[in-house]
Amino acid sequence: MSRESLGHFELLVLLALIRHGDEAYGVPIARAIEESTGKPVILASVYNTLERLEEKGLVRSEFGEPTSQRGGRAKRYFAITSAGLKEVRAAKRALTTLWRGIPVHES
Amino acid sequence: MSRPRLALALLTFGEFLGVSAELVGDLLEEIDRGRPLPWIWRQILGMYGCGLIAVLRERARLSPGLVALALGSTMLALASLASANRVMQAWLSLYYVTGTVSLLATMASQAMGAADRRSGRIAEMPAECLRSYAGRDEQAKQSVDPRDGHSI
Repeated sequence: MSRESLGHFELLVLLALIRHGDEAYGVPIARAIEESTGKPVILASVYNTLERLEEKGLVRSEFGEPTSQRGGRAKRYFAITSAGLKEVRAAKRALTTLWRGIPVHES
Repeated sequence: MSRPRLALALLTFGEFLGVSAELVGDLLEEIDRGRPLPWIWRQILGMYGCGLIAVLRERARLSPGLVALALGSTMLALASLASANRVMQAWLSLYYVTGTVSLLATMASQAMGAADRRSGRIAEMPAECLRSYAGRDEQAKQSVDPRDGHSI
């Protein structure tokens, strides 16, 4: 497990990955982040983040079948590992602890 | 919607430069779904930008040339701010301090090496290393698939 804590975008990517389960590849992950944040997402940065997470052992990937719609290129499916789930839970705990006690101003 | 030709050519060129095929495939899929042109161009610029950053991260290493260039630039910058004497003094101080630290580090590593040789730790190492490498070679031979000759 990595000693570094998760970055904001890394956490978003991991959460999108959990939401999509077995069908998680670049496009749905980027769309989920776009919908949740309301900001456009660069697909290349999603892939960079996923590769970094894979190097840390938080994510694993496998290739699917190539399709003609993608010019014969295969999809790369990603899945979160148990170490990744542990990191997400740790991040949630830290955020919840920090949020507790902060007054919320509804606008 | 017709596919923008220049964008497609740049995607293919990106793949030729080392951009992953799955990323190019994802972008093609999204273009087919009718994403607007500004989105496509933003993605292509992002793809080249991320690729460039990755290459720079991989290749950026401290080399003697780079260190000399950085030191030279610093000296020039200092020379433009202070007198030549002050710059020379600063340079000589840096030179003596780094030289002394380097000398002490070399002496310490030599002393530790001599102590290890006396205690016999280093003499035992080559045999262990040889055994471990021999083991790895055996594993490597066993993991080669005879059908295609590739390591599995």
